[in-house]
Parts: sequence; structure tokens; C-alpha cells
Amino acid sequence: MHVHQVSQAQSGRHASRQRLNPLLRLPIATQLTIGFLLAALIAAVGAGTAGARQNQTLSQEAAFYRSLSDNNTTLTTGTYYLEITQLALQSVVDDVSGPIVSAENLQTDTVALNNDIALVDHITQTNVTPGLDQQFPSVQSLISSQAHADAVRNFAIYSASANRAWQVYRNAVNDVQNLAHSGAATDLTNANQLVKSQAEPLDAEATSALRAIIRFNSQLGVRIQTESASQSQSQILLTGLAAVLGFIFILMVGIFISNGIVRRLGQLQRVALAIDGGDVEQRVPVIGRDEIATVARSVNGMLDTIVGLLEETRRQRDALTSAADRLFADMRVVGAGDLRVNAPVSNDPIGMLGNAFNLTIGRFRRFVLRTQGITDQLEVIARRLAGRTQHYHQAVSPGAPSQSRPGSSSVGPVTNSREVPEGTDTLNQSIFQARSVVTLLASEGKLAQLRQVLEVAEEVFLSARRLRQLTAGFSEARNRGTLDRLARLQEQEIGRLEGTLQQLGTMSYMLQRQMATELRDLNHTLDQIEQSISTVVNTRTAQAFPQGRESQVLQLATNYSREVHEITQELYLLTQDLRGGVVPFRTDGETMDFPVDRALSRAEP
Amino acid sequence: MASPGYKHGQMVWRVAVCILSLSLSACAVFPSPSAPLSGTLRVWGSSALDPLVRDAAQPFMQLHPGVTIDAQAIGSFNGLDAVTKGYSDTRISGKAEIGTSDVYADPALYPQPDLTDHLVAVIPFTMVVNPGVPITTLTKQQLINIFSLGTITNWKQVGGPDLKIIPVVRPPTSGTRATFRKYILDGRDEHGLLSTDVSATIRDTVAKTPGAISYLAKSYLDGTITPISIDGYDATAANIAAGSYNFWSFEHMYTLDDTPPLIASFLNFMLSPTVQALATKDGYLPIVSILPVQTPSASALSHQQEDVPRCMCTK
Repeated sequence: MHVHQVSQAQSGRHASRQRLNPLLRLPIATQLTIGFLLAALIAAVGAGTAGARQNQTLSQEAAFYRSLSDNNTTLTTGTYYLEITQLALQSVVDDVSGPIVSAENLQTDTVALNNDIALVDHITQTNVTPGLDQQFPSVQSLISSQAHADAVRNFAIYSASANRAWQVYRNAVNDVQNLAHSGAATDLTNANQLVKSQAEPLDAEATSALRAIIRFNSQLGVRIQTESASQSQSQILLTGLAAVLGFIFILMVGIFISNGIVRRLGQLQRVALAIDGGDVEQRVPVIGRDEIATVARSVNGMLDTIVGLLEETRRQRDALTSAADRLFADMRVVGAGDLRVNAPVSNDPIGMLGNAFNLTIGRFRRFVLRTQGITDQLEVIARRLAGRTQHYHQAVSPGAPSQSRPGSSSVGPVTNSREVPEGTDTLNQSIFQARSVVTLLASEGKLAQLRQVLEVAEEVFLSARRLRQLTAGFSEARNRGTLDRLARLQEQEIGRLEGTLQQLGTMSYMLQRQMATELRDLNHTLDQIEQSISTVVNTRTAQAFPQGRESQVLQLATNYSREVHEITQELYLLTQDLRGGVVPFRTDGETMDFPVDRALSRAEP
Repeated sequence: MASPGYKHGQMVWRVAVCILSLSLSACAVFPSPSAPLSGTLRVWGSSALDPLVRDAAQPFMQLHPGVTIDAQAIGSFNGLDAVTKGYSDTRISGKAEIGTSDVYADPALYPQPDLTDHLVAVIPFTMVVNPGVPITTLTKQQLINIFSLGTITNWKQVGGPDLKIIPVVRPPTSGTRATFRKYILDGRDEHGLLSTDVSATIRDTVAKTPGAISYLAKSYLDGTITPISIDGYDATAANIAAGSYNFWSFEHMYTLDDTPPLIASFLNFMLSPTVQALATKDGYLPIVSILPVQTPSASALSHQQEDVPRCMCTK
């Protein structure tokens, strides 16, 4: 739950950023394409616009300078023709002023003068009278509107000046021509005077006026040059500024995109480092819909799976620990001697151990019960045999004091009887031996063996405790190394536990083997008893007894031997029974660790 | 916790700022220092231009405290003499840096190759009469008859009262007279009461003399005299530009060397909007330079104007 809160908080913190960054919804390839396309578009538009503007300005300037050159050439030609006109006028006046007036010369000079005037008139009409915008159509777009207005007004003045001078000059020329053609002396004088006082200065002024226009045109050229220079400077500045702005824009787009990629990769890396350091609750914030977001989502899913597996492992370990605790409690109960326990069984290793434990304990319990039952029966049979033997003894030796004491101990005094025939000692000795074996079987051996089992069970308990400690260590473990080490320890412990349980099995097996050996001894002893009894009966039969009494004794001996035989048969059957109980346990003929002699001596009262 | 992405971004921003500041510093302009203007500038010549020169001298000397403008109205041709070879009379003597004129310098009379013409204004001239003459217009021919041929001597001949016409004329040094002769009298001589070339004196003479008629620059008009039109056309910019009113002239400033900072600065100042506005107020028609002229305040800060090409010379 905590993990979910953290991831929700992280995704909430990044939600606003995600809204601000719609690029992250596109695949990385598209993001990069958009970034580069934008950059290329900005560069292309900027360069194209600047180039187009520059081109337009340049073509306009070229057109202006061409018309400026044409105009000034024409106007310069005009100034030359003004001088020629003045010379032609002077020639006309000279023609009529001379002593001999040549009509042909006058005619030629007048035609030349009129041609010159017509030429200058044409130049004036084409290059002076039209306004500035007619002469230079592109000038309006090349200079500022204020400068254009000034230029138009100034040009109008210059144009008026030139026109005025030219018109007045033409009037003067007409006057001079009229005076010259009249032929009168005073008129000639006046014509000469008019040429000097009016025509010449006006010609000079018209020339000056044309030159003023030429100068003005040149000024216009300078102005346009300066303006276009400053324009191109500002254009360069603008281009530079646009380049810088474009660079910044491209940089921002680049940072925008690379931030989106690099930052999220960094988050991925941080989460990976945190997981490596043991903090499995870290999650990658999922931003956008591109490949990185997909990877982040996958990583988160993988982490969720890993954490779930870890949780599952912990739960299983806890279950194992509690099962081991329960098994240990059962073992303690068994160690205390209560074989009625039944450990819970399940599919886990501890449950299987419990199952094996149950099987072992059940088998052992059945064995002990059976052994107890057989021992009781043996005791009964032994007591019966002792009673029969005593009875027979009393019967064959009527003078002998009767032994009322039952059990095996009553056999002892029998050995001291002088009347005892040969073979009776052996019989007694065999019976005593049989009793010892039975006693050993019934009490001391079982006790010692159970103690051994208890010790082994203690070891199992200790193993379980260590397992629990290891389990606790799991929950505290933070890194993989510790986890590995704990897992190794746990494995070792389980191995050790397995060994212990094997040992437990071995002990049970040995106990069974010991039992089998002792029972074989018992069988052997009983065989000896049977033999001894036979010997005794034969000895008794061989002795000479009185006839009356002899048949009686024979009768008794016959009965006694039959009874002893029957008892022996029963003992044999019991022995077989014991052997049958031992059969399921494997015996490889190994020597037992359990010290039989010490157990025998301890069994002595 | 700073992510690697943020660190990367900060580094990129730093690089961007560095590039930006480098490019800006490369674009920065460092104005070069210049020495303040000083000295005396003699502007002698045309009486028609004199009022404008004096009007312009005041703000110019305020802008440049070390400068003195010496303006003298000595007549256009005397002004051309003063700038080319020097001039001397009872009051002043010497060579002017700038000679002003109402007329083009005839290359035949002033052959100096370095003589450079600077057009600074257009001055319309107008015929003026004594306020006692109730005439508003005269034809060009009537003026020829009055001033040159002498066939009209009484105002009643032109529809006025029975009053003798007294033409007041100027000496040959006057550019105004030359213009009058050229464009009104068609080159004829003028006859009349000879007065001085000082326009103010002529104005006063006309004002005091009943039946007097003369011509004046529009800059000298005031309430004491009455301007009249020629052929019905007044001395307006429109009439001048249309060619219907011919009695006007350029105001010229001639120099032999216009490169010294003081002269160049003053010539530019004359063409500045400030002075041209004064010119308009004074009755001149403005010629605002179409050359890139710096404003007076800007020229007061920096006098780097040598790189600006000046007017082409007219010889």
C-alpha cells in the first residue's frame, strides 16, 4: 500500500509537467523530427526572407542607379548643348553684325541654333519637368517617406529653377533672333547687348540649374546609398538577432526534448540504483506515451512482480518456522515419554519431516507396545514355569521346604538343595539368564534408548530455533548478499536437521537391532532351559525310585516335562513374535553403540 | 536532488548566454571622441539670406559655446568677392569662410575651381509698394515699363491714384537686383531712386516714400509696406514650383573649402530641420537636405561628419 502511495505521489508531482509537455506523448523519433524540422524551418524562413528582401532592395537600387546614370548623362549633355546653343546664338548675331551678311551662313546658323534649342528643350521636358517619382520610380521604396517628401519638394524647386532659366533664355534668344533678323543697326546693337546682358547670364544660370539637378541627383544617390547601407546594417543586425533568437529557440527545443528523454532516463537509473541498494519500494514515474514511458511501465510491473515474490517467500518462511516450532514441541513431548503425539502434516519440508516423525514414532510406539505385551506374557510364562518347576521340585523331594515365593528369585534357593540332581543347576542358571534378558528388555534398554532419542530431539529443537533466527534475519535483511548468506545458512541448517533426523532413524534402527539381539539371547536361553529340563527329566528317570513312588514320579515327570514343553513352546512362539516385530527393521549385523553390559549391570537391582 | 538532465540543461543555458553576450558585444558601437568646435565663422554676403544666417547663428553658438558666427549683409556679389578674394569696406575687412549669394556664381567671374555652392534655401522676392498705394498686382510688362522703360510714371496709369511712381532700385552688387533684372526686366537696365543694398533700408525707404515701389526678399516683409503680386501670382511655393512666379532665387553659400569641422558643421546645420523650420517662419522656402544630416543635438555630441559627402560643386 505504501508503494502505491509513493508512486501516486510521484505521478501526481509529474502530472503538471506532463500536461505542459505534449511532445512527450509522441514517440522519440517524432520528437526529434519535430525538433530538427523546426530548426530547419526557422533557418530556411529566416534566410529566405532576408535573401528575398535583400534581393528586392538590390534590384530596386540597381534600377535607381541605372536611371540616375541615364539622367545625369542626359543632363550633362544638356549643359554641353546649352553652351553650344549660346555659341550658335553668338554665331547668328555675328553673322548679321559683320560687314557682309551671308544669308546662307545666317540660315545655317539659325537652323543649328533652332536644332540646339529643340534638343535642350527635349532634354528639359524629359529630364527636368517631370516630377521626381516619374524620373525615379523606385526611389519611394528606397528612402524614408520624410526624405522622399523633402526630395520631391527640393526637386520641384530645382526643376522650376532650370525651367525658369531655360524659358527666359529661350525668350531672350527669340528676342535676339528677331532683332538680328530685322537688320536695323539699332536692333543689331540691342541684339548684341541682349546677348551680353541677358542671354549669356541666363545660359550660365540654366547650366548651373542643370548642374544643380545633376548634383541633386547625386545627393539622392548618396542618400539612397546611405539608407540602404544603414538598412543592410540593420538587416544584418536583424539577421544576427534572428539567428541568435533562432539559436535560442532551437536550443530551447533541444533542451525541451533532451530533458524529456534524459531526465526520464535519469529517473529510471535512479530507481534502478535504489532497487540495487535494497529499496524495493521505489517506482519509476511514468511520463508521456513514448518508448521511455513504456519501458518505465514495464520496469514498474517487473518490480511489482519481484516484490510479490519476495512477500510470498517471506510468508512461506514464516509458515515453515511455525511448523518447525510445532514439530519441536511434539519432539519434546516424545522426549518426555509420551508417544501418543501426532505432528501436523503438510506439503512443506517441515510438514514432511513431521510426517516422517509421525511414522517413526508410530512404528516405535507399536514396537514398544508389542515389546511390552510380549514382556508381560514372558513374565507370566516365566512365572508359570517357575511355579511348575517349584511344584515339580517339591513333588520329587517331599522333605524339602516349600518355596512360596513366586518369580524368578524363588529359583535361587533351589540351587542350594543337596537333593538337586545333575542338570538342575544348569536349568536354574538358564532361567536366571532369561529373566535378566527379559528385565533388560522391559525396562533399562528402553529407557536408555528413549534418552538417546530425546537428545536427538533436542538437537532438532535447536535446529528449529536456529531456523527461526534465520527467518528473522530474512525480514531484517536489506541486500541481496545478506539474503544469499541467510539462505545458505538456512540450507545448512536444514541439512543439519536432516542429519539429525537421520540419526534419529539410525537410533531407532539400533534400538530395534538391540532388541532383536536380546530376544535372540532370550530364545537361546530358553533353548538351554529346555535342554536342562530334558537332562533333569532323563536323570530323574534313570535313577532308581521305589516302584510305587517311581511310577508316581514318572507320572509327575511326564506331566512336568509336558508342561515345561508347552511353556517352552509358548516362549518360543513369543520369541518368534518378537522376532517378527524386529523383522521390519533392517539389521546389517553391525555392532551396536549401545553398551549392553552396562545396561545389564544397571538392570541389576 | 538535481537530476542529470537539469545539470545538462544548466550547462547548455550557460553556453547560450555566453554566445548571446559575445554577439551583442560584437554589435556594440563605440563613438569616437572629438574635440569641441571653436573659432569665428564669417558669413558675409546676401542681405536676403542675412536674417536666416543670424537666426541660425544663435542656436548654433548655443550648441557650440566656443564658436562665434560673424554675419554681415554686404550684398551677394560682395559676398562672392569676400569668399574668393577678400572684401573690405568702412566697417569690415577680410576674407569670409562662407560667402552668401542670391545668384549662381558665374564661372567666368569666379573661376576658382574649389568654389563650392551650397544651396541652403529658396528666397521668394516680392514687389512691395508704399502702403498708400492701393494696388494689389502688376503685370511683368508694367514693371518693365515702370523700372526700365520709364513709360509708366504715375500710379493712375495702372489703375491707382494720381501719384508719382518712385521706383527704388539697388546697386549692381545686389543679387536681388540681378534676379529682378533677369527675370522681371528680361535683362533690361533699371532706373530709379538708387538706394543701398541693405534690404532693411529699402524697406524703410519704401515705407516712408509715398508712391514708392521696390522689390524685397519675403524675409523682410512687415506691416510697414504692401506686397503686390506679379501677373496675379503671389510669391508662394506652389506658384514657384509650377513656374508661374519667376521672381525668386536660391540662397547660396559658397565656400572654397568646406572640410574644416566648423564650416562643415555650420553648413549641415543650415540644412537641418531646425534651421529650415526657422527659414519657413522667416518667409524662405525650405531646402531640407536630402543628405543624411545629423540633428543639432547629435552633432553637438559628435562631429564625425567628414565621411558624409557634401554637395557637388557648381562652377
